[in-house]
Amino acid sequence: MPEWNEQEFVSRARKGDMEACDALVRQYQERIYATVYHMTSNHEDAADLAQETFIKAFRKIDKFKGDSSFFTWLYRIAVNNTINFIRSKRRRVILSINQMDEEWDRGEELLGLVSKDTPRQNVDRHELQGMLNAAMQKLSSNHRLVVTLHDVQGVPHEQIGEIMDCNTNTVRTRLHYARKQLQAHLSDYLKP
Amino acid sequence: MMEPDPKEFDKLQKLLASKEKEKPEEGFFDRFSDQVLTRLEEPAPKPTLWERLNDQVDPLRAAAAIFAAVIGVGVLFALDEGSNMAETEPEPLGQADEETSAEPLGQRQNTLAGSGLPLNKSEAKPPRILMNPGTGLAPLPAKVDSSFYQDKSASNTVHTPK
Repeated sequence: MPEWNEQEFVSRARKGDMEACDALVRQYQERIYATVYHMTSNHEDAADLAQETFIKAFRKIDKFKGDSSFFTWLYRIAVNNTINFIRSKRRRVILSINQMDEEWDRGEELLGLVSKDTPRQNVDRHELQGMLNAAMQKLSSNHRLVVTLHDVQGVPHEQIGEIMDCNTNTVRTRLHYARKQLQAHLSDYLKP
Repeated sequence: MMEPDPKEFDKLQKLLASKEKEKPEEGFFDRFSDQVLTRLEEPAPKPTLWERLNDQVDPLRAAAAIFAAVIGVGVLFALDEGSNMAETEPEPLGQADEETSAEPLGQRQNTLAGSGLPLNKSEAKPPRILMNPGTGLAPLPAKVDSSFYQDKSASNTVHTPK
């Protein structure tokens, strides 16, 4: 497999080379999709937003100056797009949280009943994952983003700073508060 | 806020890391690139005014321009208010109603002949006491010693006691 050369593909994509566009999409689609999905907790919205991210990027590729990597620039587009979407769909998100809250109560009862050794362990985990998604939705978009990028996807602080256009200390502070809030929301499920 | 329990935080990190396993249905990423490229070939929708502004205007510069405009309007308003206040202030003596028509000195109406000084034809009347001197004052009877008017014949007669 030939070595990945981002700059070459970017310059070819600038000239309208669809093969280069295809290569760039395949290279980054999973990470962009995952970021958007963990921000929205909805696969359909994530699919739409991830597509829009790539389309916007290719339509504005002439504005990419190369100050950062193409991937960081792409991330920025994805993040801004997603934050705008979350703001515009706030009512719907709240509705989905209410639905999740009902499940949360049921999950709490289940957690009290189900032992780790029972075959229902996986069901427990699934429920717990739902609770985690609901807790994530309760965070502000900036806190949710920093948790998604760092704790879920393993992006280093420095790169998150570039994506979010802030310094590393701000990233660390946001991460700290986001984790505290998540712990508060999930305190019943995370007892040692 | 309390410091987080490290054990609880371990669990939280594991839970968050497990989210990485949440994936879309199988085959999603095989179709994804084709879908993007198909949409890319469609004509781009006309950008909205807001999108065009976002693309062409630097937000920092726009904010600075708005700030400058607000300050400018504020200064203009303050100047206007200041000039209004100046107009209502009393004018210095002799400078009121200055006319610009060129007339020979001393022949202007309402001026003292030969001096050019304006006659005071203002509607304000002089104090009443100057118009009718003494009005409003009650007459006071003169205090006179009555013995002064007694018949005392003025003569050189020497009165001698009887």
